[in-house]
Amino acid sequence: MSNPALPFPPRAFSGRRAVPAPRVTDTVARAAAGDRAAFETLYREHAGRVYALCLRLAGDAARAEDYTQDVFVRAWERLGSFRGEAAFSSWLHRLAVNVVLQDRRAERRRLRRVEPTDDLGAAPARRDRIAARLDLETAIAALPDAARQVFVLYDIEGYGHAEIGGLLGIAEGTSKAHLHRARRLLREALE
Amino acid sequence: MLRIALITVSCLLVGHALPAAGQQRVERRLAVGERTPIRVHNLTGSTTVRGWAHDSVVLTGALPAGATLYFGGGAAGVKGGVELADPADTVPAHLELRVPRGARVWIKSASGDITVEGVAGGLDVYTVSGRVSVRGAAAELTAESMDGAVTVEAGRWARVKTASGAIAVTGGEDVGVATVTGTVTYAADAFRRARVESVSGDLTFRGALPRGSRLELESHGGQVTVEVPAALSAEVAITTFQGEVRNAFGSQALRSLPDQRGRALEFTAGAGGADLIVRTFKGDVRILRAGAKASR
Amino acid sequence: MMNDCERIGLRLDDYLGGMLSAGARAEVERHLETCSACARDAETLRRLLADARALPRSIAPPRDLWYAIDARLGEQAPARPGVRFIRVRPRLLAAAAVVLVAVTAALTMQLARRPIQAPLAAGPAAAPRYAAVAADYAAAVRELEARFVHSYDRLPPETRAVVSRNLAVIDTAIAEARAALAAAGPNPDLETLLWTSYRAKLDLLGRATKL
Repeated sequence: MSNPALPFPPRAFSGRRAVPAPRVTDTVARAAAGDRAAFETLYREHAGRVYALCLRLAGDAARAEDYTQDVFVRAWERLGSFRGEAAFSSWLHRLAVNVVLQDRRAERRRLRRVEPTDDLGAAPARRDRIAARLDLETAIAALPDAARQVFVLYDIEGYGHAEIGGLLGIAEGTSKAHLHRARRLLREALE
Repeated sequence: MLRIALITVSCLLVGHALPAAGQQRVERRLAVGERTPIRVHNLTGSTTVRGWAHDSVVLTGALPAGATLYFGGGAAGVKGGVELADPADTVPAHLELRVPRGARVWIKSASGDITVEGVAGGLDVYTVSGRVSVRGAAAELTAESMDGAVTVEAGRWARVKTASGAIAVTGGEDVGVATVTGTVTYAADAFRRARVESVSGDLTFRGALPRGSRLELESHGGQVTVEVPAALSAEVAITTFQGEVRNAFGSQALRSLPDQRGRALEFTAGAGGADLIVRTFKGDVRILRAGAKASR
Repeated sequence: MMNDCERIGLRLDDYLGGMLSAGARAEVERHLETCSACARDAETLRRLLADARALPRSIAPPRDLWYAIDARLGEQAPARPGVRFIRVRPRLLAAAAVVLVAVTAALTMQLARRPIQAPLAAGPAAAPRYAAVAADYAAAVRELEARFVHSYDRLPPETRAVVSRNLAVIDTAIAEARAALAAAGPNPDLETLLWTSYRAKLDLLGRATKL
């Protein structure tokens, strides 16, 4: 049996310890070299950002937890390919967007899930902190998938239509149409 | 908050205001789509919603003196609500709605009971002290009450919560139930994943664990009872700190975990293939064979 | 045929996004000055966009996901019912093979020296994690309690009584679990029970604050 502690090969650090690129922090470098404690630190640092993104893109608290896990598992697997061209947070952010958007079988996957303890969609409790915010969050969550994704990426995350089109595999004009629809539905829902 | 929302909503709704003159019957109709989202606010009275095979919403009801009904929308969405003349008014308004079966329905109340039948799309119901009853499984269901009893037939996905209200859930595939002090009864034999938790309320599961399923029951101080057929086939893991365990499946003893980590009982019943996990702090745990008489 | 309001309505997105030419912009503005319905639409949209931009970028997950993530990072599954690691193993083997070839002896030795972690068993790593999560929950509870104080007076007496009674039960449970954890040291099952009680408290406070 192989040593279960062995990580994926840290490409950036093959051979002797490489000098980290300027934006690869020490924590990222250690995590890429297989240090789980360092990776846990990264998780603690970025979990909120990733979870918020997944929650809004998925519009579902339980799925957002699944996605957040997937994002970090994938990040661990791919840390070797992180070369520091962008900040780690941006890299992780993009990874999160891809994880959520590429999952076209959310329903089946939720049922397949075999992870340990799940909570009962407790996210709303945390989202309840500010009631007004909750209303908007709830309304966003209730949007149709494509409209929600475009709204979250464009109006909350600041992506452009061209980029969103690329991520969702739709034309730029379609992205605009989804945005228009999302904004209209949200106004109606919040009125 | 509710009232503010209601007033805001009321300002913008397309609808007809009723004159304030005694208890009045109301009736409204709207053509909608088969999956139109429908939102209903009825703070103090009962709300009954029934799914039907028409693409229209029909609202009938009785309002107390001075109350105003707002109701409007179309295929993109329907909103309705009762605004009371005096916010402190507790005379109930009774609303009954017929909605397309595939609609997504959202109902909010404070003290009113909520009854839903045959809505298959999606259902979100919230009440504070009212009771909730749902029959005919909605694909996705969220039901919350503070201290009213909640009885639901779960569809594919269901989440039910109370503070002290008793909960009874049947069926479902992916089910989550949580209460603080209320009791929970969950009956199912075709679920895939279920988690039932309380702080002090007693939890009971009745039914079977299908192959590949996972059932978690967790309570700090409530008694956990699992009543399953003698042919149970599952990996069972029970952990408790101060509770007692009674197990009708085998004679394995509860063993103490090192470092004061409580006591555990783990065994495979039948061929395994499903997971039954029970965790309590001081609640007793009983794993019973269905049909056998419980001695306590 | 589209009337003025419909045409302007379709251009509000671009108008507020600053994407209209000067001429088109002037046309929209002229219309908004004379049409109160469209002006209100524009204002609602402006507010929506401002609210969206003001949404918090970070929302703490409702529970600590690290356990589950850690368990999927290529570890050998501990012998514990209910936890499976189906998805990771093939990759783990592939990864291990590549590592053997690619990584220097020094690094391999360094890795081999690290203890094998059992993600669901108590261990030295559990204590700081417990402390961090407990602090996180406690902070969230404090925040909600502060808000709850303000809404408490507005609640009907019977609701107040229900909330208070349930909060008292939760607080007792939290105190008992914390005391047991303090006496017994790191313990994932006990922590799970404690987190459940904390979640119950957050949920109850959150709901009571919203009423």
